Amino acid sequence: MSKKRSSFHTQKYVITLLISITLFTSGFLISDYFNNWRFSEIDRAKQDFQVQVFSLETQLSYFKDILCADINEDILTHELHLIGEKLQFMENDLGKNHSEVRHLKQYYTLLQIRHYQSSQRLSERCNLNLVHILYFYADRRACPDCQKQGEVLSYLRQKYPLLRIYSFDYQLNLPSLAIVRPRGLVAPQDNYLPIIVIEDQPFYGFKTIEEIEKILSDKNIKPAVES
Amino acid sequence: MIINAGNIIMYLASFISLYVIILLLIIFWGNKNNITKLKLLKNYPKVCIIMPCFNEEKTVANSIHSLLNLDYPQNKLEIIIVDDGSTDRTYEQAEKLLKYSQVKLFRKANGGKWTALNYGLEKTKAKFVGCLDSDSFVDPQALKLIMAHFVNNEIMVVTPSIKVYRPQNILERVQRVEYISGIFLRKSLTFLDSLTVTPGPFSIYRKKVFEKLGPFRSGHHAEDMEMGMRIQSKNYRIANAPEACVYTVSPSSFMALYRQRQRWYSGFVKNAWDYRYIFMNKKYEDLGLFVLPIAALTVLVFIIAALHSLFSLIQATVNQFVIWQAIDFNLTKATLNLDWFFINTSALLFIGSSILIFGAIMILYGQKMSNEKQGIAKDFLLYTFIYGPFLLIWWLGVIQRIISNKQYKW
Repeated sequence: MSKKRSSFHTQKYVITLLISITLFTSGFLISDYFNNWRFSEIDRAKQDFQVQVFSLETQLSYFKDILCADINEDILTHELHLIGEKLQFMENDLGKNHSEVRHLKQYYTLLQIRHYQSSQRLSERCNLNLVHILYFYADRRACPDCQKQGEVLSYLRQKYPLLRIYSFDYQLNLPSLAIVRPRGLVAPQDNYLPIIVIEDQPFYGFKTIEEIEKILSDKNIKPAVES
Repeated sequence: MIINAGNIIMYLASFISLYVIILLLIIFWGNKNNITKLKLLKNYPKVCIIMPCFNEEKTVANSIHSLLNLDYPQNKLEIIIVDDGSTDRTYEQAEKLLKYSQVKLFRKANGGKWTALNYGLEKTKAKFVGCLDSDSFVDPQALKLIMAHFVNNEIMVVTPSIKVYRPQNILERVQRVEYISGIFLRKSLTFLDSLTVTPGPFSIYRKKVFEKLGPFRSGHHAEDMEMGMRIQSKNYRIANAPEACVYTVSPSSFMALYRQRQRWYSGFVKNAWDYRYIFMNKKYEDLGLFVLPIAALTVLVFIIAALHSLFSLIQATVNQFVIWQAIDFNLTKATLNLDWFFINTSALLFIGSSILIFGAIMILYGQKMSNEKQGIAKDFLLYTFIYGPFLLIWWLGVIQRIISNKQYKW
């Protein structure tokens, strides 16, 4: 009885390894290509938005009698949220420590602050009755309820078209955040996040739809309900 | 990409899968020409087919008929039916076919499939011995095609292609795809001299293998795996005849399939452990240095990756439920974003797609080699989504069985 066994196919294992590494790396390169495309999309949207905010700021600063009907504040707000959603998608995919994500997030935060200030002035000037809510969140480890709170606020934003909600990452290292951070928060205690600021008054911890609606009602704020 | 333990295990699992599939294809392509050069024998030797039966009254007669219909000189064919103490009418069903001179029927006390096979081995003087499960049916050309491989004196066993007999429900159709991919897998492994299973349905042996290595053993209720490992451990060669088709009745219910797979997979683990000296042993070339170690690693990584995916899915579902609860499940307000921006383009998706494409190529080769005419696209789709979770359930069952040391029956 013959006892022969074919020799170890070293060459084929090496060729397979090279092909596998090439395909594996290609997967990352293709993914990277799409991520770069996404970053350029956000960058373009960010630049378009920046021009529009500057334009609004300029009009508010130089024209006492601006034509309120000509200003599409709601479209601008929608664009701001769209940039926010895209940035959130990138953060979920690449992590908040990704350099490009971190950079864009800082920039987005600045855009939100500028939009918030312009929107307040515009609302006053044109009697738009806009209600501004600032929302401070953190990652799941620091704030387990933040995802829930975000969903509640998104729901309220859809229900009340005149609500203007701005989301800020509390852990973001950006000095300009001090402009909008609630004052008087000297020593943060446990479970103080999420924070919602309505009309300069901060509210700590998760708030339900009903609780937020009650706060708005107590403050005699009655944003219009979506028709 | 976020780097964490979960992602690392997912990428490791996908790299191993990609590597193994590409290797099998490269090995197959490198030996493709050898497959088409098969020449039928001019003089056929005597072959004995042993059919062990236990409570197979519904299928035994058809299985015997399929043997009688073999395109093989009938005076060179011996069919030995061994009833291993059936409690139904298996014996009476087989008895009706004693009118055919090739058929011999024996009855013994129940002792397990391997004892029935050994009983049959003692009753024959044929130089080639095969076995056929009593729930399997052979294609008329199968034996001629298998015997053609014995022209090579080094070949001690030839295994056939196994297909699912008349797949009807979803489970059977998923198994159909699995069996067809198995046809490709077995063929590629024979090129590496690394086939470690000589399946119950219609594997044909030179009888001298049993004289040299001894009869069948229990093999932890997987006597075909034990025999395959024993043959490999002694460096004898096993060939595969993909063009020789055997049809087997596959389990049609989830529990029956679950029990079958527990028996198979725990048989694999226990027999691999019994023959652990083959692992990383240079003497066994591809089998010892690659095939068995990568099979063990693949199972381990698959279980961890699948459990990770399962827990992630549960966690995401619970998380989403809590979030939707916060807005009173007012999902009509939720926006469905169809922007291209939000389409998943992770590296894992592209790597997974490559694995799927190569997997489909393997199945197409299996289909081609076994002359399978029926389309497979729909069943492949089912297989893609269902097989992974099934595999996890089967392996978890095996782990539980091994830990509890529970025994199997026929």
